[in-house]
Amino acid sequence: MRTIATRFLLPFGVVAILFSIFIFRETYVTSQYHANDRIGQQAAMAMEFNLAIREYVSETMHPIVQKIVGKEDYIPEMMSPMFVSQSVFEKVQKRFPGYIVRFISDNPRNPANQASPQELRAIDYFRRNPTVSQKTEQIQINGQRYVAQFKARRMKAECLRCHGDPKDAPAALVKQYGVTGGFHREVGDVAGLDTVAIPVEAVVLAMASETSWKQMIMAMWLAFLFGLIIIAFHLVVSRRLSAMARHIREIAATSEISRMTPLEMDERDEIDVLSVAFDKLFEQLRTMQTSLEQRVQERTADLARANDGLKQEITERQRAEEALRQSEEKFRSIVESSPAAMHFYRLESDSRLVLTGTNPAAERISSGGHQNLVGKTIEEVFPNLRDTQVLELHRKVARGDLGPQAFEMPYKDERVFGFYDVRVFRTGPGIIASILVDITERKQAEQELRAYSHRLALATEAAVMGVWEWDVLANAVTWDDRMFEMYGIPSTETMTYQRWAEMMHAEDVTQVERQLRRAVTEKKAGYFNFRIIRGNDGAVRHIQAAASVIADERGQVTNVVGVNFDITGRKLAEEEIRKLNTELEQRVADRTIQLAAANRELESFAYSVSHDLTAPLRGIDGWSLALMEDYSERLDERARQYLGRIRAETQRMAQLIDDLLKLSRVTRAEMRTNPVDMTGLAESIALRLQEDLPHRQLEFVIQPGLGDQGDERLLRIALTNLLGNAVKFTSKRPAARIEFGLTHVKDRPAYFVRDNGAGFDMAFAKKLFGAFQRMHRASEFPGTGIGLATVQRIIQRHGGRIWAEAQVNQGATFYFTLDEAS
Amino acid sequence: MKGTTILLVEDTADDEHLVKRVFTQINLINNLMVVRDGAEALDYLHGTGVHAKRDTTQMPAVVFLDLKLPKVSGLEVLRRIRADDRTKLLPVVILSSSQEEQDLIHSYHLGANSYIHKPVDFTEFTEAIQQLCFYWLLLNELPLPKWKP
Repeated sequence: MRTIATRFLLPFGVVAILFSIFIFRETYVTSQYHANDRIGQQAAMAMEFNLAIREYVSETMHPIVQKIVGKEDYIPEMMSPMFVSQSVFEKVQKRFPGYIVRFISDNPRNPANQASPQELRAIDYFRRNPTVSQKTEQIQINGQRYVAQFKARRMKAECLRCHGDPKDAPAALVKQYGVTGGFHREVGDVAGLDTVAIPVEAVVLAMASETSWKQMIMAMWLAFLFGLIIIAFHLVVSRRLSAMARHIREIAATSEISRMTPLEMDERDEIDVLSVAFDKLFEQLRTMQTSLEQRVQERTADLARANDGLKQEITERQRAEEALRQSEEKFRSIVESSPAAMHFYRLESDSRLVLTGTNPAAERISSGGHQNLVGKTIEEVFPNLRDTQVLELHRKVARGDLGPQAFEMPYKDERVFGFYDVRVFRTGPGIIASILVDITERKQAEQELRAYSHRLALATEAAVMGVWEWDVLANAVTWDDRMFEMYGIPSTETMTYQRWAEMMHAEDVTQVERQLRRAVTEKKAGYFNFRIIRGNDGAVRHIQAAASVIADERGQVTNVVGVNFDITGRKLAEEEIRKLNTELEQRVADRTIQLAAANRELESFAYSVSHDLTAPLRGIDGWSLALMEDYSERLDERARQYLGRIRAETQRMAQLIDDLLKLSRVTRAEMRTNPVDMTGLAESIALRLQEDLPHRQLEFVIQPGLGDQGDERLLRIALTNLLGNAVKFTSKRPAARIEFGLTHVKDRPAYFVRDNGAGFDMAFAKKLFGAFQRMHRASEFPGTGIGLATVQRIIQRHGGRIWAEAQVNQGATFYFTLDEAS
Repeated sequence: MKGTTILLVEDTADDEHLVKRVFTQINLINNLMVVRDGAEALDYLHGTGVHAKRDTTQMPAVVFLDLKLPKVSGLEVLRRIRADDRTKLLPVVILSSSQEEQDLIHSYHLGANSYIHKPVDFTEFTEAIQQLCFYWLLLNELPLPKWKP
C-alpha cells in the first residue's frame, strides 16, 4: 500500500537530492574557475619576474661587466640574461617542483633550451601574427596538465652583435658555443619564447580539498533537515491517519457493527473531528442492523419449516430411482460386456421364436452381424438349425416344459462358423435367452493334441526312440516301453534318476551329469552321447540322448523330458567306414606311386624310341639310296623298284614312330588351361592347310566368335588332326566344304567338324578312335591311324567327349565337347 | 682366321659313313673331322688325350653334335664347350634323331646355336647337310678368336 508518507516524502526526497547535486556542481565549477584564475595569476607573476631579471641583466649588468672585462671577453654568469634568469628559477623550482620557467629557441646556443613541439607551434604562431606577443594555453607535458604562458622574444638591433653574424660576435662567445647556435638572426625575428608552465593538478587538488570539506558540511545539514521533516510528519499526520484507517478496516471486515469500540480522541484538529464523525455514523448503523436482523430471523424460520417437509419427500423418491437405475445398469453392463454371445427370443402365440435383441458379442460370432436380424425367427437367424432337436429344445424351454439347458454343438452357415457351448434359459413367460460361447479354438487344440500324441507315438516307434520324463521335484522318472527295451530291464521296474545313472558306463557318468546339470541351470535343450551297460546281456550300447527343460511360470525347473536313441549300429558302421577309408587312401597312394613310376618308364621308352628306332631306319634308307645311286648301272629295273619299296616302307615306319611319339607326348604333356580363341585357332589351321595344298579347292566355313578354356597347344594338335582328316577325306571331291562350329546335341553345346568327303560306315564307328585303326585302304587315303586316337586323348584330357556321325560317301561329322563337368 | 673344318661327333657307324658320303658328294670331305664319342670330342677341342699334339689355335668352323653319345653325353659336351674360354663362342649345331621337347629346351639352355632333327628320308638328310655346310662354312661370320695357344 502506498501511504501518504511515501507519496509525500518520495518526491520531497527526490527534489532534495536533485537540489544537493545542483549545489555540489555549482561549488565545483566555482572552485575550478578559482583554480584557473589562481594559476593564471601565478603564471603572470612568474613571467614578470623572469622578464624583470633579464631586463636587469641585459640593460644594467651586461654593459658594466663588459666595460670591466673588455670588449672581447664574455662571462655568461654575469652577462647572459638567459643564464642568470635560468639560474634564479632553478632555485625557485626547489620550492615549487614541477613549475617550469625557461627561455627556449628553435636554434638555441645551449641544447637544453631546445623548444618542445608545443613551443615550436607557439613560435610558429607568433611568426604568423607579428602583432601578438603573448599567449596562454593548456598543454600536456608527460601526461600532466599545465597552464602555459608563452611570450614572444623578438630581435632588436642591439641584440645583433651576439645573435647576427658570428664575425661580429665576441671571440669568447664564439669560442664557447661555436658559430651556429643562436646566430644569424634578424631584427623583428622571433628568436625564442619565454615559457612559464604551472601544473594544474597541484593547484586544483589544494582547492578541491577545501571545497569538499564545505560540501560535506552542507550534505550533513541537508540530511539532518530531511530526517526532521519525516519524524514530524509521522507524528502529526501519518500515525493518526493509519490508526483510524485500521479501525475502519476492522469494522468492514467483521460486518458486526455492534462489537465496535469507538475511537477515543479529543476534539483538537481536523483528524480528530473526522474520527468523532465516524463514531457517530457507526452508532447509527449498529441500531439499524439490529432491527433488520430480527425480521430476517423470523421469516427464515417460516421458510425452513416448509422446506423440511419438501426435502424429505424428494429424498425418498431419488433413492428409489437410484436403486432401480443401478440394478438396470449392472445387468446391462453384464450383458454388453459379456464375451459370450447372447440372443433374446420371445415365443409368439403361433409358436414362432422371434429374436428381440442381441449383445455386442453376438455381432462378433457372425460375419454379417445379428443386429439386423432383430424381429426375425430363430430359423432365419440360424438357417441350418431348421427342424433340429436344438430348435425344439429352445421352444420347450420357452414354454416352460424344460428347465435351463446346456450343450455343445458345431454350427456352420455363410455367416457363422465354429464350435459353440450353448446355454438356454427362461427369463420370463415365453421369453428365453440363448448364450453361445465360441469354443472352436479349444476344440481344435484338443484335436491337435490328440493328433500330436498319435503322431509322436508313431514316430517314436518308427525311430526306435525311447521317451523319458524326469520330475525334478519329486525325483520320479517315467519311461515308455521302448526305454525299458533299450536298457534291457523289465518294464515293471520303478525308475529313478539314480537307477539310470547306475546303468551308465562309469567313464561317461561325470560328463553326462555335468551336461545335464548345465541344461537344467541354463534352461536349454541339451544333447548327449554316452554308453550304457545293457541290463539283460551286459552289452555296451551307444546312446544318443536329447533333453528339454520345462520350467513353471516362476522360472523354477519342474520337469526334464527327452528321448534316447540306440546308435550302436551306426557307431559300428561309422567305425567300419573310417577303416575302409583309411585302407582306400593307402591304396590310392600306392597306386599313385605305381602310376608315377609307369609314367617315368613310358617317358624313357618314348625317349629311346625317338633316338634308337629312327637311327637304323635312316641307315636303311641311306644305304638303299647309296645302292641305287652307286650301282645304278648294275641294277635292273625291278631291283630299283624293290629298293624304292624299301625306302617307301622305311618312310612309313618313320611316320608311324613319329605319330606314336606324338600320341605319347599328348598323353604325357602337362595341361596348361587358359582362355582359347577357338575360331582364331581353326582359321589359322585352315589357312595353313590351304597353303600346303594350293591345288585343292577348299571351302572352310568357320563360325566366328567361339572361345573356350583349354590347353591351346593340345587343342591345336586336335583341331589340326580333325581339319586335316576332313581335307584328306574330301580329296576325291571336286569342291570340298569343311565346316567348324558350335551346335547343340541333346541340349548340350558341342563343337563339330563336318565335311562332305568319303564318310565311313557307322558299323565301325566304335573302332574309329583306336590307335592304328583305319577305315580306308592306305592306297585310297594315306595315314597311320593314330591321328584320331591322339584327338580322343586330347579331348579326354580336357574332360570332354568325342564321337562321330557319318555315312559312306555322304561326308562325316565329328562332335566334341570340352569339360563335360561344367 | 676362320676355321674351315667341320667337327662331326657321331657314334653310329652307319650315320658316320653316310655323312662322309654326303661330304664326298659335295667335295668337302677334306674339311670333315669325325670323332666317335663325347670324350674324344672334348680332347680334340681342348688339345688333350689322344689330341694332345693338336694345334688348338685351329678351331673348327662348327661342331655337329649328336646328343646320344657314349662316355660323355652330347649335352655334357656342349656344357663343357661353353664352360671353356677357348670354345665359349664356338658354333655348335645339335644333330639329333630326337624331337623331344625336353632335348630342345636343354640344348638351347646350354647355348646350342642350332638344333637340327635328322630326317629318316636320306634325300632330305643329304639336303640338310648340304645346307648346313653352306651356311656355317660360307655365310656365317665369327668374331676374331680370343683363345690363346
